[in-house]
Amino acid sequence: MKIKTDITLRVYVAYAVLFVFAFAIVFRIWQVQFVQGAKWSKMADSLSTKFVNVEAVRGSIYSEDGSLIATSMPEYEVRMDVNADPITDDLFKEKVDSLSLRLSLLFKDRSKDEYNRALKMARSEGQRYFLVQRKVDFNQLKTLKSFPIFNMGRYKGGLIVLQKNKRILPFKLLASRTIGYYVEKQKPVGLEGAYNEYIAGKTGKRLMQRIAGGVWMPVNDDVEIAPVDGSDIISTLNVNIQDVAQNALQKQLIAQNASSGTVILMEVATGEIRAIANLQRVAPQQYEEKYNVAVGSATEPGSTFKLASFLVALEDNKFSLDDTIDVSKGYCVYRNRIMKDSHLIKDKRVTMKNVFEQSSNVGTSLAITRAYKNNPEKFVEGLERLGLGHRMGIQIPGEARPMFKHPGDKGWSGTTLPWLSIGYEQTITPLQTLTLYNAVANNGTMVAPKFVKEIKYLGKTIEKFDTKVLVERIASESTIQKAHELLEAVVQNGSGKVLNTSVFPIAGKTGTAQIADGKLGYRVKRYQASFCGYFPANNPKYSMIVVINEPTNQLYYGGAVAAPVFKEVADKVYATQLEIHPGVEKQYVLNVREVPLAKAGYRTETEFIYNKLNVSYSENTKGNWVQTAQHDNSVEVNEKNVSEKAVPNVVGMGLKDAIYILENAGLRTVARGCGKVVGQSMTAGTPIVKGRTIGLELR
Amino acid sequence: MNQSQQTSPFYNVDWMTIIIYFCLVLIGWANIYAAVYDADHSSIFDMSRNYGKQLLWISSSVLMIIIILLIDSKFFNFSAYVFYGITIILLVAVLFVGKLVGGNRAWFEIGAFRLQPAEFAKVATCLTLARYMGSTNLKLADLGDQLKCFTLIFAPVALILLQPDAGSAMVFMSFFIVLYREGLPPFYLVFGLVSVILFVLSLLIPQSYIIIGLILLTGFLLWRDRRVRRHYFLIIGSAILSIALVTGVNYAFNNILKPHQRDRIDLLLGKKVDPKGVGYNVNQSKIAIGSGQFLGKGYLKGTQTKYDFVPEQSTDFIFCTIGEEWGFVGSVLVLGLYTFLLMRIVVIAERQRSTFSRIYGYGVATIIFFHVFINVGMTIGIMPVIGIPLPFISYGGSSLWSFTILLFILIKLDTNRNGIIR
Repeated sequence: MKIKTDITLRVYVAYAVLFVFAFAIVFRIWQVQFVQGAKWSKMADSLSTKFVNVEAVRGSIYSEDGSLIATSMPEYEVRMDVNADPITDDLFKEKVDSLSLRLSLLFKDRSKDEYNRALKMARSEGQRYFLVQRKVDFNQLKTLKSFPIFNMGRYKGGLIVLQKNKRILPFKLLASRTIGYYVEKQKPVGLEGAYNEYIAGKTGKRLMQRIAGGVWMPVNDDVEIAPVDGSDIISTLNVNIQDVAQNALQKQLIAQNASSGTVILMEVATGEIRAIANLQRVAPQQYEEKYNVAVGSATEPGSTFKLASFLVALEDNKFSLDDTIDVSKGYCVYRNRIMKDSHLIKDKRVTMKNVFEQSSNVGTSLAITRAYKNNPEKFVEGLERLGLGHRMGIQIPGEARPMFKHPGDKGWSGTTLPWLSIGYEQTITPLQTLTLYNAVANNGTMVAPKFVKEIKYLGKTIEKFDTKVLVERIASESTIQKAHELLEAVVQNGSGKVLNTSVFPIAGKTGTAQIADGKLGYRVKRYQASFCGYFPANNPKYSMIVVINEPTNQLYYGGAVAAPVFKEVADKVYATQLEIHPGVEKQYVLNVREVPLAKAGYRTETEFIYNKLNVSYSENTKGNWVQTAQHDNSVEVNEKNVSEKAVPNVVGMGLKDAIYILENAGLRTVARGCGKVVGQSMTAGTPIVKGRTIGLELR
Repeated sequence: MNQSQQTSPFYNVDWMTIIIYFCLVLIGWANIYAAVYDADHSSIFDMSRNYGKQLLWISSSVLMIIIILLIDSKFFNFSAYVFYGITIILLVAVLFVGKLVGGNRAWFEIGAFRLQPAEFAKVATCLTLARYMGSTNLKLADLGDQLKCFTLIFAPVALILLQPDAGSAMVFMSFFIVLYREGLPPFYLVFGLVSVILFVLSLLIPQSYIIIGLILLTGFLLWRDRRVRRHYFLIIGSAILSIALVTGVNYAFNNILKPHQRDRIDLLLGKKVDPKGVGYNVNQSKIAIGSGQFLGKGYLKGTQTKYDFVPEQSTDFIFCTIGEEWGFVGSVLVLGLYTFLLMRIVVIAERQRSTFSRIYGYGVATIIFFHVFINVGMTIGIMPVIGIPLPFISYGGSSLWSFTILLFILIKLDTNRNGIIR
């Protein structure tokens, strides 16, 4: 029996041990989950930390003249912790209606009932991150913070505000494709895309901690890894010129009901692009900048390319400008393909200069074919010497590759050479064409177009971009001289005569290309009108190209469609750029016979003006107010009586002084006209009644 | 009984145990899914995730169950020593060809699968101990027989400590409860318990106080038993041993234990508070369980486990997921299932006519008990962090297989409960 009790005892002990352990565990679980539950929940929050990215402020893009053309502004995403602890059921029930109403009134995107439903649903679903609104601006956010529930405070009201930086272009459409954008995983566009690594800066990191209610809060005041703000880009664009170019282009596109158009303005010596506008029709009469056609689309240039043909032939001494040619038939035939002139030139023999002036296809192609038909390779080599046929390498992405055929290439036929010479069977971008014209204007030195002048970080220049010379000399001095002569002749006598009215000389070339439609070829009459040139012709400062696609109001010639835009832009640029005006000071002829009298006014101011202009005068008073009079061919400054008690006499004064005196005396003034005061409605010397209105007449 | 019943592998099986087993396994699977839940891989059958793989382990376990039930009961008694020998060889081999994971060389890597021999060593040791103690006229009161049993236990323990995997090794201490049930003098248990108490005390209060306390206690005992001379030797011997232990503890603590083990013990004793460093596991685990409160956050709604705040959440810390998502109710339910299972195993053990089966049954009960107690204890901070799995629930092939084998050998032996296996 002893053994049996012993074993039973042992089993009981074993059970007891098990029981004690089991009890310990259950007790402990009870303790952790009930007694300390709140403590652990709280600790959960304090132990939950994570790093969040701190967005760097993206650098801005400035225009050449210092205007901000792209910058970042804060924009907010507003969310709500609908189940934040301080929002009790009663409170929510009481305030949700008014909150919905105010939200609906503020954003106007959903009705009061819709907001109400959404908020209630979010609360019942236990949401803690309910999206109230994306894209909230600062003012809206300020208003939002005063709404019921939200006004309980930052954490109590469940308001969660996420700041994002939104990119804005203060000048909206102006050069928007050239300014471009940078979106991750998308093809970079424009300056933003090209210089993103400079503009973007470096994202920082900040340690955030979760606090009660699931809200994340920064652990430290400082960020752990400070973001490095982006650098600023100083572009070569000039906001005023850009504005002029874009407006002129848009006006003409609407007038001609054209499908799209491009204007590029370049500074001759440096290649800096002052304006680049690309407009495309998005709806009737509506144009927007959708694609950087100037840079990214290579098309058949048409007659503007004749300059290249002439440059090559003149350089190779194939003909001189006085050589004559017969184009009176108005067409010629190359291997069964007919080439026509758009305007028939009736003269039996015309000079090569005339051919260029009148943009004769027949004359140009005949001359080039005669010169190079046995050695077309030499002509193509000549074109390449001009820096044509390959990408120039510019600062923004997306430059299209220009292309022309070489003899021996597949597709080089008997008709290629004549058509190549007049700007067909090849492609080139407007910017590349402009670069060639700019080189001619720049006395033969071809410089690359430049979009960015320098990169600055916190106002300090970190990189400066020099003008890049593509070809030191595209042709000999004499050839360049002849090119100048030709381009000037186009405006003086030829197809670009519309431009001949300016007060400054313009040189350039018209172009009218037929656009080939993929399937239909050239059968559908669609045109590209262009004008490319530079001004002032005698001392080139700017070069410009204007291209207008598919004008549909009868007109389609470059001289008629594109040249007016050129003229408008050139005029305005010329007018606003004083430094290109010849000798401004000579235009003033000083009239010494008249004595320069001044308006009656404040003595010291009058003295200041006379002293500054070196006018001798005699002064008879030390009073504050004076009037001037002529006295034996000199100026006499006399006292003007201004009383404070009686209505003063302000006749002869400027409006500024008149108002000063009258309103100080307690009268109210109403003025009409401009100049100096010639009459006043109250007689001088009558007593002042304060608050009365006195009328002034100025002339 | 008819013929077909006798030959069925399920003849005479204890269905209750099997049902509890499957409950636990399925709870485990569901919670592994919750612990590593990821909206991108929301299918519970996704084989790239732990829950998908666990399904593989579960199905292979079912296969294993059928095989075990088909084998004759005598086989397990018969081949106990063979199993033991194989596991010893594997434990030696793993020290040389094992894959180093987290500083331990405890795993064989075969293709994409990993095998942990220590898990299977528990089964083999349990069988061997049962066979040895059941087959001989063993007197556990004799020192010689005690030493033989200790050797059987400590051989695998020593090899596992070389890996080193203190957690798995510690599990083998559960066999002492079996030995006690079979007649081991209580001295060993008392000695063990006193050692643990002294160990903890000497870490908590200055050594000199304990030694003074021990001397005073010895003096008191000597005075009380002044008439029983034969107690003198025992009392003084115990006192010397205790003082030696206390002085040795500091040395052991500072020189033998590894820094992370020291940290875990310090932490448990509240000597160190470091919620983000060493205490991270336990704190996160307690946070998870504590934030579950009474009813829990709901299935798949636990934030602590889901967002990877708790480390090892599908293996050693799986209980956190249960505590967080099912709350107190769920935790108690799971523990209730374990308690029920353990009681059932003890009942099964007690109803065996063969000593082998009974001892084996006790072995099974104590191993499972130790795992549950230590595992759950560590997640709620009453045990130091020892990386051992929660039986049937934790993710892992080796652990699920070994516990399945362990349990179902008992169920198979139980089908033959009226026979005497020799």
